[in-house]
Amino acid sequence: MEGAYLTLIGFGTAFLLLLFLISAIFLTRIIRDLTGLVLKKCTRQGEAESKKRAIAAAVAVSVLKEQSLILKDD
Amino acid sequence: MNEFFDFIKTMGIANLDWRDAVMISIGLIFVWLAIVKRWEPYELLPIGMGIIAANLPLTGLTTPPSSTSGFQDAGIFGVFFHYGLYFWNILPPIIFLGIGALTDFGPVISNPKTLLLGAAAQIGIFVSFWGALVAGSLGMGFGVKEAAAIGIIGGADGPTTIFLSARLAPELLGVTAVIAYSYMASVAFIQPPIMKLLTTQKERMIEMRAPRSVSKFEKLVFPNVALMIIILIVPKSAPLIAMFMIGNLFRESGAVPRLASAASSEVLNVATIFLMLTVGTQMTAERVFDFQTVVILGLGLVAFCCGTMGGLLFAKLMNVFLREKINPLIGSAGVSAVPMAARITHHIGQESNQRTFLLPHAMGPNVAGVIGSAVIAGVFISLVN
Repeated sequence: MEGAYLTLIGFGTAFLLLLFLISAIFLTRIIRDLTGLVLKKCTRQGEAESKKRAIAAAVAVSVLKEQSLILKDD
Repeated sequence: MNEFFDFIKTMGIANLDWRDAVMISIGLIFVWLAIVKRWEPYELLPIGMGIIAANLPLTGLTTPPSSTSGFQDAGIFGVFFHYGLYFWNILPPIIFLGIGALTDFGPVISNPKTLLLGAAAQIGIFVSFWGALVAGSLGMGFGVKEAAAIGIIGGADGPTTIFLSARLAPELLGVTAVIAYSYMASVAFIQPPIMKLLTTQKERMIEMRAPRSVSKFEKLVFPNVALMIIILIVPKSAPLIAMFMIGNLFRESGAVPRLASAASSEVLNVATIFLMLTVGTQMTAERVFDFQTVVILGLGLVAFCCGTMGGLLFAKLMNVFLREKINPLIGSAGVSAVPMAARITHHIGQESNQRTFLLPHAMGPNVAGVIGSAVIAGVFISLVN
């Protein structure tokens, strides 16, 4: 009888634990994908911000250049 | 003249029994297999030398330390056995630390369903466990503890076999460990006929998609989660599982390259030397020349065969439900024997179809087998003790 219990519990536990591990792997994958999405969103926002800054810098440089040319002409 | 004869009597050669001579020959065969045939040399060479040293008469090398016999009378191998296995049982967990540092969980994480194959292949443990119980009921002297120690041979995992035997049936330790390592060295002969018998050519030709790349985040999370889940459910498996996962985290973190390197080389090598020598020294003539040993040898072989069959048949069963079929050969890698069983799977797959590349897929069940057998060992210790 003890042998039967040991077989059932031993084999059952091994299967159950490995099923838990499979679930944990899927859960990790979901978390990774979700955090990946958040990171991507943050990166996209950051990209837009830096684009704006670059445009602003370019405009500033061109304005300054134009002013310096006007001053030279004078 | 009497002094001379007394001296002769104290010589080892005068006390050499034919059984000792046979054991020394077996030790020499192990050494030959390791050096010439390169069969599991890291295990068989120290085991062989241990057998030779332990069976030379009157050395006292294997005398264990005890308060009654006097600690100073203990032999060096007796001390290794007592503190390394019997009393503290620290050597198998140290080996697991090194194995963890060498293990890549990537294949398991990329295809988690292969974990189930590792569980299915553990059927061999229970077949030989029941075989030992039946033999015990026929007067072989095996109780539940001995049956568990014999059954775990089917896990095809040397350190787990040693860990469990040392806890439940230390008198069987040498025999079970040597049988486990001998069969592990023979998977190239044991598994292929069973693999070919239970699969069709069409099944063996199944090509599997290359595993996806696994992110570092997943590789860092897995050992932590596995450590907690397994130990929360089977705390007695903690010595093996904790060390295994700690070693793996050393490797995957990338933060402690020196620790990862030490665990997978120096620590593992030192522990292997002491463990294998100690196992060899447990193979004394009086233990081996026993009908029990022959029965354990047979049960161990049955366990290996049934484990292989269990993995293969479960893979075939999974294919009934899966849209994307798996090659059933990878089921046979569920018996631990890392990485030999995975290599055999790959080799047999290549024989049938040059385009199948099963090695990364077979590593999944292979690693799952290590975890599965350690869990079952933990269950045995929890319930049998």
